[in-house]
Amino acid sequence: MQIEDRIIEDILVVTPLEKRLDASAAVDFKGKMVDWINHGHRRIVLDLSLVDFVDSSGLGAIASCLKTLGAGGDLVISGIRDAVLSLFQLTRMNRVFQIFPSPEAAIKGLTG
Amino acid sequence: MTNRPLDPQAAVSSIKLLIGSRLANVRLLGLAVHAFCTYLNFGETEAYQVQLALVEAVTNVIRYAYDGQPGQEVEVTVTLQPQCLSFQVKDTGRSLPALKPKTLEFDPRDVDHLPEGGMGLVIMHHVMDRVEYHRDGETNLLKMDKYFTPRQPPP
Repeated sequence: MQIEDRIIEDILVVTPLEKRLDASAAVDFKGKMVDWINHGHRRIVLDLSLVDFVDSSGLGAIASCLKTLGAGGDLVISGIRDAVLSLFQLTRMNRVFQIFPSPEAAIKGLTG
Repeated sequence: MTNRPLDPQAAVSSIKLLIGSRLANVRLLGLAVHAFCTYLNFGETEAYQVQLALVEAVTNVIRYAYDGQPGQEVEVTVTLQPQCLSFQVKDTGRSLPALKPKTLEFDPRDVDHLPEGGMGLVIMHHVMDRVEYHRDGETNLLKMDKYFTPRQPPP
């Protein structure tokens, strides 16, 4: 899975460039995210603006990343589409992750 | 392999889709089902969720019935009745425990114990109106129905 990464105000913003975060992509996604976490990134914005499908494996991988960050870390979501948001809602993961409309809003939320 | 044209005006239309047991193939089924839902004028979120239910079902087959082994087949029959979209997922892997509806019980504040799996069944039961699973000889059959109100099909 191709993921674009950039650092803004000491916050890592990652943008998956593929449309689907599903069971066949989840392991690769999680591996890249854990690499960034292990390199010391503690505050991460996951920008899902280009992703139009996430399944429970993809969602589980995102949850796993938050667990890997542990106390003192933060992983927030931005740019999520309404359909994908419905997965977060029906699994109640919308109560776990802070969700922002854009990476800029997420950065403001994390630094404000 | 089309049995009959997918025509909402027809009493029953169906199509069989066959994939090899690799997770990378599941998205082909998902994309096909999303196209059916779009054709039926499902809203974007509903089309996504119906696709999601099928993707979860087939992913479970590959992961658990076939233990992730490639070289097996998963057959999905999509049937359209005037007010019902049905899926039958067929495999010849090992039988799975009865698919009982589950609920996700976790404390959203307790990050250390967030679920990373076990959500597929919840999704299937939440999205679809009927989910049934049984074994017939050496074959596992999962049937799922989604009822809908017919709308004017696109020209």
